[in-house]
Amino acid sequence: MEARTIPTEKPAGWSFRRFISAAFLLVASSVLGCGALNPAFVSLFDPTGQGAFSTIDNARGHVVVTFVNNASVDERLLTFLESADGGGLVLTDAQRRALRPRLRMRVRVTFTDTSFQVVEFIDGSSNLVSPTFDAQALPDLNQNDLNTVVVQCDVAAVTVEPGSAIDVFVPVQLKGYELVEATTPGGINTFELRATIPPQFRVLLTDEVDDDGNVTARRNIGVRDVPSATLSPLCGSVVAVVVDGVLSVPFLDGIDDDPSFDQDDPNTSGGVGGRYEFVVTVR
Amino acid sequence: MTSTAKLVALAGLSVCGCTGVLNPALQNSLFGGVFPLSPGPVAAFVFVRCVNETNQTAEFIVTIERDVLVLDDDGNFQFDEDGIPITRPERETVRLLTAATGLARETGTLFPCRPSPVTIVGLGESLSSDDVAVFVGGGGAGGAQGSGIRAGALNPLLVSVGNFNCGDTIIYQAFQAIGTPGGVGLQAFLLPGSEQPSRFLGPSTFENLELFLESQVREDEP
Repeated sequence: MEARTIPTEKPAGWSFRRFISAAFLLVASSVLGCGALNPAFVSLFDPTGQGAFSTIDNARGHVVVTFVNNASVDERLLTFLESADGGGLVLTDAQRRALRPRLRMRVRVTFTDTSFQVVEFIDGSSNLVSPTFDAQALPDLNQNDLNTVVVQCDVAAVTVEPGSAIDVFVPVQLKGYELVEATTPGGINTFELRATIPPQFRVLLTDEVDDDGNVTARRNIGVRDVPSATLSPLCGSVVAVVVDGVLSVPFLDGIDDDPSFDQDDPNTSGGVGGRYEFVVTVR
Repeated sequence: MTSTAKLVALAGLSVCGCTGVLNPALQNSLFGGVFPLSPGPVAAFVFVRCVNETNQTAEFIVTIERDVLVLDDDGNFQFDEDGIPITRPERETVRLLTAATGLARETGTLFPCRPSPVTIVGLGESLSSDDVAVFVGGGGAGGAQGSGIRAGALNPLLVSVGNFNCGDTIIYQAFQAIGTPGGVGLQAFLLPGSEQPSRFLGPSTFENLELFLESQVREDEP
């Protein structure tokens, strides 16, 4: 069998065809823009039937930022809400298991071209509120959840919006008491009611620590449990902010059966709203 | 390199129109196939993208309706006498704010199709043609709302007549339009998920999101 050599030079006609193709592509891209070469054809949807040949450029790709609320509700708080004093909230077993504290946070997405978007995530049960209050009059409960945002590439950073707070909706009225010293010799100090706070969003505070990192005042979030910034997530990534914890309120036992706290006790007053931790992952 | 090869290479660079030809995001915008542009067919979401080309801030009011499965007290699905799951329509409205310039001009959100399918998608809170679909020129989050642009003929998109399906991307575009009320026009586009590839050079964004969300469901959740 005679071996056949493989030609090393392309036929003249083949080169000419490639020249024409390249020239066509050059003209098409110059006149119509790079989007005109989009093989992922995007059709125009128009109920009037007009403009049938319009297209829109392909997206560069997307980064998904999602807020996942895995927090739960303290059993004592639930028991109070379901009691007559708490308004007699009626929940089925399924609703009880699905309950989530209503959390709200603002996230800034900064792009590589320095433009940015601020997104307000809000997620959690809107039926978790004392029936003694008109839920319709509470707009924070009526707003629909937003827990997933899709932005286009390329993203430089995903951070908590500077100067903003993470809030939790406290679904019961809180009573603030103050310990008043007795005015008569041998008298008994008593707690006096000083403030009533209706159901509302409450800012979650970070623990206070000293220079050595020891906790001096315990609040709602540990210093290591705050949501961290995500820098330069790859195009196509999913940035997930996951929150765990428990929504709880204090009860000043022996003074009041309703949710209540000593205003002069920083550990109690600072921890109203519960305890949470945030974990940010990229996948 | 022969002169023909040089010409082809030059044409190739000219086609791309820039020196960033190796940027995956740019490659995706030109040819696709690097990152997914729609959830389908691998992920059960309806993706709504809002593109702002008005050179002003714009807030899109996106509303969907879904048939929510009715649950009993134990969290089990309820069925009628024919064995068909009982559903009730439920609406959701989200407000998506877009910037005037840059990559922040566009934003979107995902609506899961499971377990309750999305049946209607539109702009404005009531899904009617008279609804305000977009507020243009506002002060952004916490600021003034801006001028309202009505949805007009864009509303609503129905899954029942095939306007969209689970897995598709619906794109709403606001653009400058002389002679229209408010100087802003609205258009809608559809990117069918069924026509997209199921494999990509880069990460499968929506599939990864769906798998992640499924892993987050608590054991005791109905």
